[in-house]
Amino acid sequence: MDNLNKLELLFERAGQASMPVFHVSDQVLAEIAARQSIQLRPWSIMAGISAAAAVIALVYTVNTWMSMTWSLAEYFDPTVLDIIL
Amino acid sequence: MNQQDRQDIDKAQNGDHEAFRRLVECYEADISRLMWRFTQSEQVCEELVQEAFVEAYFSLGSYKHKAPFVFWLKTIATRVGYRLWKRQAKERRFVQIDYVADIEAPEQKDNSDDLNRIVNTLLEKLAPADRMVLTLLYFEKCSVKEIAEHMGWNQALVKTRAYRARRKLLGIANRMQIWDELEWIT
Repeated sequence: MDNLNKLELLFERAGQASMPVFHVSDQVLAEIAARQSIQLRPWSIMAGISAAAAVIALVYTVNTWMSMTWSLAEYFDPTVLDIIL
Repeated sequence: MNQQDRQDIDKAQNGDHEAFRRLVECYEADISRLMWRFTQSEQVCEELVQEAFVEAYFSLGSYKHKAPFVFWLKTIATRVGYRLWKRQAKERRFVQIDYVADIEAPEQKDNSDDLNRIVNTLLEKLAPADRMVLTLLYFEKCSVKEIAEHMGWNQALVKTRAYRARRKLLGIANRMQIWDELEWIT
């Protein structure tokens, strides 16, 4: 018998070694729950971005409106404003 | 795969943890046996089994019932084990130590546990990819096609790798003169 056949035989006999079985269902479910609790879902990221965009848009609009009002008041003569309003 | 498994997979894909628990209990023996090929430490092996199932849970969406569930599960488990070997190989290269113990003759002839230890000592001297292909080929009795699917390699690469890995392992075995110790094996 050549060494290659011996090697295959060695693997075959070694493959019959006893092997433990691990009962891991509880740990697996605990780990899944833990990872899910810290996992950011795509919809929550989208909701966060949308809320931030809405706040920025609101602030920008209010700011623009206020600055326009002030500049109009400065530009027009109060009597003209009286006529317009 | 039986009807119950199919139902449990569908439920687990929709986030049913109890259905996934039943799947874990059904396949933990198969996965434990496979992971034992990657380490001889019970603690590490248990962690690998857990990691394989956790990864499987988060990848369930990609399971389309095309292959048997156990085959799909073993593919994930194999990759988890392969990552461990690659990490260990990198660490060993980094610290530059001679990590492999000498081969000792088995205390008792035909003791499978001793022979398993000898084979693992030999396999540890190979690169992770070579070790992987021989482990799947000899221990798991996988075909070339199955190895290719598990590892994401093409079949030609598997054949080449298996041929070279066998040659390398024989070279190591000859250098370590293990055949004198294992003369009785013939």
